[in-house]
Amino acid sequence: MTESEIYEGLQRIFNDLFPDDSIVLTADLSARDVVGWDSMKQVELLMAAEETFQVTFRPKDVDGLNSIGDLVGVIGSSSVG
Amino acid sequence: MDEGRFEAARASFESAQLSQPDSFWPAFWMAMILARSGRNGEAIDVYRQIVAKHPDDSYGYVGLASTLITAKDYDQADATLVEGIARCGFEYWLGFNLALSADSGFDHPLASERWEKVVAHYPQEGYALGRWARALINIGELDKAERLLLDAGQALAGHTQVLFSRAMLASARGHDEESAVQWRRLRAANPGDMEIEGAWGLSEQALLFAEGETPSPLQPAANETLNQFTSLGGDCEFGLVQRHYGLEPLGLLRWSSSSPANLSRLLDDGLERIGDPAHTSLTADNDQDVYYLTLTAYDLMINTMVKIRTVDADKFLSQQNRRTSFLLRQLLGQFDDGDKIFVYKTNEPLDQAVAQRLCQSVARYGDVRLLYVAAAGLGEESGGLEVVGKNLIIARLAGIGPLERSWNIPYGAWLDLCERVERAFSKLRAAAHDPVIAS
Repeated sequence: MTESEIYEGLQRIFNDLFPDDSIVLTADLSARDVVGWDSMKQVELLMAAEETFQVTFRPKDVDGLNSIGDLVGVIGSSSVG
Repeated sequence: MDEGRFEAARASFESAQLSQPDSFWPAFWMAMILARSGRNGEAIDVYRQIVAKHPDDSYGYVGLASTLITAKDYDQADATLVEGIARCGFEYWLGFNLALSADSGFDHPLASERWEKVVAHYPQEGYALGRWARALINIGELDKAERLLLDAGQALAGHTQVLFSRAMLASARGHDEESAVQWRRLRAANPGDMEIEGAWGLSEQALLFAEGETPSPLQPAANETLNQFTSLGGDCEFGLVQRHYGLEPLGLLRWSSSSPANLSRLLDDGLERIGDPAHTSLTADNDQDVYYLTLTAYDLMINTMVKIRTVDADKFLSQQNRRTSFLLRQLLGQFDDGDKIFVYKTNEPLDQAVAQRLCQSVARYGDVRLLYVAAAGLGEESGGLEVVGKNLIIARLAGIGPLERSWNIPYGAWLDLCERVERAFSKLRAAAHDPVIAS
């Protein structure tokens, strides 16, 4: 799966989870930048990402997530092989 | 009211009713005395008779509805008031109690709508205006509440309910200093007012629980230390410590309340019932106005941080079960990885056997390290550690909360404790792998 495809998939997830359609995903976008992106939303985001990309996040994957770029990286490496 | 005085009052009113059978007031005062004595059922019966006999007098409807609200029969209260308004017009106390009924039932959107109507009819009533602002704050319409309070004008600015709303608004916006000043003034002007004390306590708690900007400067070292710990609950305190230092780990039990015995049972039973709709329910905590997810067989409750009546309860329960299943998988992964130090905190004094039992329960999941924190008793050193085994450290902390509704968290003491515990466990692990270090 390409990085571009991952961003597209995450953008769709974000559009479902957040009422603000103007959120554009960038690598350095984080919870501090988005109103309503709290820990509950984080769990919904991760659950939706697992379903969309058919990956399973490990605790170390989840712990290290500080930005969309981190999430894209984890999805990319989880879906290889 | 003692029984003697009550009977004397009853006799007096009954006598008055006999001599003035068509008069409204003897029966009304009797009903009031019954209600104030806690005899709600009898009061309701008398009020119903009053309303039937004096359908054009709004006070009968007000008295009846007020007693029904006390008895938590909000539907009947609403029906009574609607009937009263239809009969007598939108008198202040009818509209007031209709709005109060919604407030008492924690239906904040409906309360806002109703208080707005009262204010529209009676713009000079500070109580109604203040309550409308509070309802707006409860549904998150902070800007609207602020405009309302600003437009209140000098005449109402000093009204207790308006001041109450200002304090709530400052808390809701996370303006710690302003909030502290507002609450201090309000509490000083109304000493012993339980509603104000309760709301102040909840606001303090809400400030603590609100995710947002880190209140303390982010210290990378502190961040790194605390990130090595995962809460197993007991209560929310350790989760709040992590939040204070800028961390928002996704822990299944981070916001959970449980006894160590029940947590041990849950762990011993394999954690299988977590996320199972057959064993979970939503509990509405009306004091905190939030839903708890309850694991019924273990009396374990997880604060969802979601306000009552802001979500569809059935859908929300289903969503919470999926969420906890995901978080359970993360927890099992953490047990398996063995990197995290798990923290269980209790407000009770230390019981070593209980701590060791909990340690045995987590041990079935792997090489799991447990920090068990209990309240320091009189004469016990706060922050003292006891290494019980390679996977169990017991510690005592003074001043750990909560005290009734207020949290008084010793953040610095927690951080210091975690730093020392992390070093102690690291040394134990190194020694286990290299006997030379041990010696």
